[in-house]
Amino acid sequence: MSQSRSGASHSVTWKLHLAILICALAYPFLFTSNFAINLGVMALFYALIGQSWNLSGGFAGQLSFGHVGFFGFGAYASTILQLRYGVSPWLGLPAAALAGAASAGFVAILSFRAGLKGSYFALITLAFVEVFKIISNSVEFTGAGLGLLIPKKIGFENFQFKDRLAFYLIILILTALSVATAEWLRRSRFGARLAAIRENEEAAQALGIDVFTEKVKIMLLSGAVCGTGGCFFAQYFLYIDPSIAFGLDKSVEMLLVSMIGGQGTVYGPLLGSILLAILSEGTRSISQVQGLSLVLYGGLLIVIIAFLPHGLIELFKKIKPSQSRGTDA
Amino acid sequence: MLKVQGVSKSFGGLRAVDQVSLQVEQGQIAALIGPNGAGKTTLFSAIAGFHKIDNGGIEFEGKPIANVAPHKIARHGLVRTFQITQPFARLSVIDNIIIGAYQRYSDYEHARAHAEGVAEQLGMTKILEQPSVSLTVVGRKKLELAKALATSPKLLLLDEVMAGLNPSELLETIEIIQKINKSGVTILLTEHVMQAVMQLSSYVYVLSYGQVIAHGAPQEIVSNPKVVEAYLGREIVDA
Amino acid sequence: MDSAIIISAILNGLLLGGIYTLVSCGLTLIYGVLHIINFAHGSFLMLSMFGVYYLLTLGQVDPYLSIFIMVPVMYITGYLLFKWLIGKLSNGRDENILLITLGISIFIENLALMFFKGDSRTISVAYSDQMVEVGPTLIPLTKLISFACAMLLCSGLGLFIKYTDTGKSIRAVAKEKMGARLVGLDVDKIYAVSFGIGLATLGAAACLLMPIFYVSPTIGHVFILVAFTVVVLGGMGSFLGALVGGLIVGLTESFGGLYLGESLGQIGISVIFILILLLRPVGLFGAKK
Repeated sequence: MSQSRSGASHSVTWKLHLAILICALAYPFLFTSNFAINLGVMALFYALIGQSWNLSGGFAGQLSFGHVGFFGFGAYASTILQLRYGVSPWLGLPAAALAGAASAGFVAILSFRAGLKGSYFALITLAFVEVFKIISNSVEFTGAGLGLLIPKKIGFENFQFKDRLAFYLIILILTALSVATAEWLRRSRFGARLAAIRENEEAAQALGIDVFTEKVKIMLLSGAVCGTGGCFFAQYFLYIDPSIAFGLDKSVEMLLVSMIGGQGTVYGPLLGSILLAILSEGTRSISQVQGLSLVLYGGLLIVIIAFLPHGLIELFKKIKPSQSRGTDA
Repeated sequence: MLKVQGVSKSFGGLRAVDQVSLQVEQGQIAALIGPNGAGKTTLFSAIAGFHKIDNGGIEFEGKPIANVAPHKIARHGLVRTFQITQPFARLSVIDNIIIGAYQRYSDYEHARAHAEGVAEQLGMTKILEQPSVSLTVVGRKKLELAKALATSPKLLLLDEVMAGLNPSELLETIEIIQKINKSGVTILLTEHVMQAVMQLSSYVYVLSYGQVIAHGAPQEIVSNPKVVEAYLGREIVDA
Repeated sequence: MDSAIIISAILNGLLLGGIYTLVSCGLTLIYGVLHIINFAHGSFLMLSMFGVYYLLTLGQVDPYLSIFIMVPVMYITGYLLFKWLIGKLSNGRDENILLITLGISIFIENLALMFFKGDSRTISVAYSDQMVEVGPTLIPLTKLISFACAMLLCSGLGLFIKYTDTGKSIRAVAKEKMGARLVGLDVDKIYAVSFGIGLATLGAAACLLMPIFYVSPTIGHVFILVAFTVVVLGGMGSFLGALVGGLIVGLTESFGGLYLGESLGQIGISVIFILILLLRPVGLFGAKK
């Protein structure tokens, strides 16, 4: 996505950010049913982890199929700290971020040192996640195959709330922070360098960019964001196990919402996630059968890659030509 | 400023660069010429850190840079352009140049201002917002040059910048390179276009089959029989 | 450890490896010729296995005999799919193709989930429980038949590629697309043929797998990692690599299960994959690009 932005459009972008934030805040007060709020929570959750994928996959062009691994590390980290060491689940958030970053850093350093890129990198991330899944399935520390159950104890200090609205607001804050991170990235030198790396690694090196270090840095950031999603998920569902923590489905969904919404854009993952939520609900009302929404989403991915490679957000740009000069929504 | 001493580089069984030594003084425009396949681009890549060398040494401003990572060499101020232009495809022209400018400036405003300045030097002001993939040949060459220039380099390695340009574009580019040199940038260029070599350089090295076969002022080189032979082939000279 | 157990593990590993080889043949062919990493490979295998399942339960066709149905059906499916869809979208970065095949796999898997629901199914035929004595151990007859057929089919495919005109055309295109076009080969058609053959191998593999395994809509995930490991270990585009790689992976899984237990034993495959990619990405027999 183009890094360029003209000064005049800065104020317009702020208005857009504010508008979206207000809509998101208003949503649970307009649609107050438990069902609607849960839908909102999940949409924001996938926007959050989708954004984490987007940071490394979209902005930096490092396609990963194993991002769920960082989510899983985050979820297990905060849960284990809570259950075995009595650490407050609120501290679990930064702990999860650290765990996510560490696992991402581990994968990144090994893979990038070996010079893996493109499809090979995507595949090796898959293999790493498999390893994580198998290990967590086999050791008592992570509860093995049974997983870990967080005992229900409603209370702010336990990061458990009776009212889903509280969870909604928390995920909204987390997602907003991830959007802010993406926006910061877009405007920063770091982000520009990542775009250069994404487009042409050799040319980037020739201009003084330390490709290896920058790639590791963005994976660390991406892993951290993904990890916080893990902590939230564990607290929301009070349960985590290897197939949830390291299952392919989340990897795929993270990738899908970003690619379909708009990879390398600030609001792409959110757009993709909202669309997925609408699709799931829409198809559920048509048929009770599980899977229809993903069938459509899979087809949509193909269509997007073939015809609209910058994602659906491109459509919005076409509608507003006055802002189009480089403003990334 | 740049000292290459006895550098060799082989690929498999092929010796692409064979015991090459050359020197570029600060402020100079030096040229590296030779027939196709002589090893010019390999040598450039080695100097810029994209190839590891098998033996010999390379010094830039007294510091050894052989086998150092390319980005570090670029940060020292030795910047190369690519023969086959390597734009950042999905970025606009100005964004491409800003990447170069970011080596020196850390915030957007300053980087952009500097990039715009560089673009103006190269007559690119009208095409700043264009997607880089839509440029013509001369546009791409200019962009390649602009990106490198935006890093505020001390020495530029220009790899066949003139290839594919028509006569008026050639003159324009020659002027630009002279201006860049006058502003304090040392230049080592490889070229096939002799006109450019004669007009720009004050010292020429001739490479053939990976070895330096002659070096000196451009006038000497052009009349050197070994050089003519290298370009035209032995039979013709003997005949 | 008891030598009978070890021999049993070796035999099981080889038998399983033979099937992995067959599954991976198609993947390495598709990569070697089209330079496509077919992420939908596992899903197509899953579809084929459902095909075999229903041919038996609805049509009473013996799974081994349904090879004669599945292979042509999958060939045509692959050919047309490439011609009408993948071929059209083949331009651009190779990551795009990977994503497109990912999209296809998502599409297929969830379609299967919709129609077949999530449960695993197995088949049983008259000879399902028959055992054969091999050395100190008993091996299920079905495993032996599957292994033998896998080896036959693999060699057959290898010979086909080496000695027939079509095979030579395929190799020409794989090696040098431009040159092949210049000498008059219909490159697009050969691409479609290769993709078709790739999928046809899955049709065959499905017939051989159903008697000894199970099928569910998500089984593609299991095989995709195995197939990738075999192909990367053996070297992309190498049939010999797929053969050797398949057997090594089968043995690893078998011994992994033996020494580390059912759950942890699976880790061997992923570890091999990671190590190869980090240390020797061209694999055992792959060509350095």
